[in-house]
Amino acid sequence: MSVLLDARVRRPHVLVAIAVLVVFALVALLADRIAPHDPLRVYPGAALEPPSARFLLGTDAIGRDLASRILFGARVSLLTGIVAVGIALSVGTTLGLIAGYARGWAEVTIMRGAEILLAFPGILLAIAIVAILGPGLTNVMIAVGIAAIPVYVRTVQATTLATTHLEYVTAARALGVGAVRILARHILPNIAAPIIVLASVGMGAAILAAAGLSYVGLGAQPPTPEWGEMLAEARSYMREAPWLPTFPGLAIMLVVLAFNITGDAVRELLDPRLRRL
Amino acid sequence: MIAYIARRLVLGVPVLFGVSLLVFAMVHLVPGDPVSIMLGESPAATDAAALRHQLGLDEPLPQQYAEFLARAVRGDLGTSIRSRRAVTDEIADRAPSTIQLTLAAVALAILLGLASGVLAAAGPGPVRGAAQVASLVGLSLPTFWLGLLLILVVASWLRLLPVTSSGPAGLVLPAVTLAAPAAAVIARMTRSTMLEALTTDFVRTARAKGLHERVVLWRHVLRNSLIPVIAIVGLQFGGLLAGSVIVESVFARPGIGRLAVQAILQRDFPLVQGIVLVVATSYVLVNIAVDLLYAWADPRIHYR
Repeated sequence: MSVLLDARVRRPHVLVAIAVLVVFALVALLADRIAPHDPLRVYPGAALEPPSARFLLGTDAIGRDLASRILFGARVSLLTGIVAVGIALSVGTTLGLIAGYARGWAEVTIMRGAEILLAFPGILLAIAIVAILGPGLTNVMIAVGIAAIPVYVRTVQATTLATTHLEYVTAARALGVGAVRILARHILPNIAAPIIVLASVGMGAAILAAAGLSYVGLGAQPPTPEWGEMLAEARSYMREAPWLPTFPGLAIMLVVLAFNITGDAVRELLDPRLRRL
Repeated sequence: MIAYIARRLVLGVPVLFGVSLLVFAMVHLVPGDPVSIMLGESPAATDAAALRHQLGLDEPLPQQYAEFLARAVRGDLGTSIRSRRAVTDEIADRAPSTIQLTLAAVALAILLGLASGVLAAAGPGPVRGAAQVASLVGLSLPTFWLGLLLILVVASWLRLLPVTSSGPAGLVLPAVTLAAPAAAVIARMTRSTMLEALTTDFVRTARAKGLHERVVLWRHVLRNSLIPVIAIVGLQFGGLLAGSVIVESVFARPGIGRLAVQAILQRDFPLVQGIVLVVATSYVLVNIAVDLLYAWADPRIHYR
């Protein structure tokens, strides 16, 4: 809790960002309790209704409540962020630790592999993985996660390499501590800072990438209430119903912005190079 | 310098080799039988065998890869399963649109990014804050949403620009949309390198000898901050190339990105492989070019 007392965190925009994330998580968890309507229920004769007391953010082209769909969309987005970052974090950190500590052929293989994956720009790697696995929401989550692995590998390998030569690691090794235990108990806690920074910034990036893939039709399919997919559906009706593209996009931007601001704050807090600036 | 260029090019070879191996492996990583996925539910046995043979899937793996590589080097990326046209022709048809869009977006991103980066580092108080907020928002904006809003406001309501047209006016909105996140990244980089340069001794010296603040800023600070920015621009170029997938869908532009999405939805593997190979290869080559530019721009690497 002492983190919240730090001057770098106690700036208004950082606090607002954290509040947005808390609300986002609560909405995702409680969507079925707080949503005024079923996100899939079609109200005949109520298509493209503007925001009103009955439909707070209006209705979509076939008469579904936009507000409820956005609330349930938070669930999909949060899950995407957690699954994607979870994959990237666990696999990337493990491979990075091995490459940084084991050296030899394991290091060469892992680092060459990471280097090759990094040769694929931006979301192209995620798109290529979706092409392999096939379109769909789950596959997009996995693809975005795998695509982020090389970044973790590179960072973790570099910091592990720097830590391996420190006295306390040598001391542990001299005492006969096994490699796995050294990595898990001695090295990992000391290289956690850059990993946490990558993960906090990565959440926003993963949500953005997955929503984009759903927008172009490679991810969530109708009628799933997913923000990117909702924007794709809104495209044909946005002149008659400008609320349709407005609110899902606003939701994505708010959440990603909140993750980016929090990620920046975490970076400032944990990165000793930035502390002096 | 020539030795540096040669070394940099040689270093790119194993990466390109790895990229080709990965693209080749795509078909074999598909869960299940790629041929029946490509042909749909229950293909006729003769069709399946024909496609298997056409794709070379009935040969041993090393031989398949050798042939894939040999053909790719000669500029033969196979045939699209759906259109039955050469993959290279499909890509060549769509490439100009994507190249136009990407180049326009790069130029715009550099312009916008540098301007707001300088303002965020050394502008007047309120402008400084606004520029910083703008770059943070730009980083978080979904491009597909920005594109839709621009279509709605600029094209539908204000009727200032067309949504789709082949002329330069039709390029403005897609380019702005694609450039926004890259501009934000460039702005953040420019700001932080400028702030660092502002604390250096040579800036103190320049100020001490009575140079006008404007001269200090533009001649001494900005020029010395640009070097890391060049590296970022190279990385962003790849992001823009891949980002065109989404922006082309928003603006219904017939480019490579949209072709890729259609190919994935139709499970047209040769076409997907061809596009991934071409885009990743261009990215590797652009990054080599940027590295060379970097060496040329940084007097510490190339000193006369």
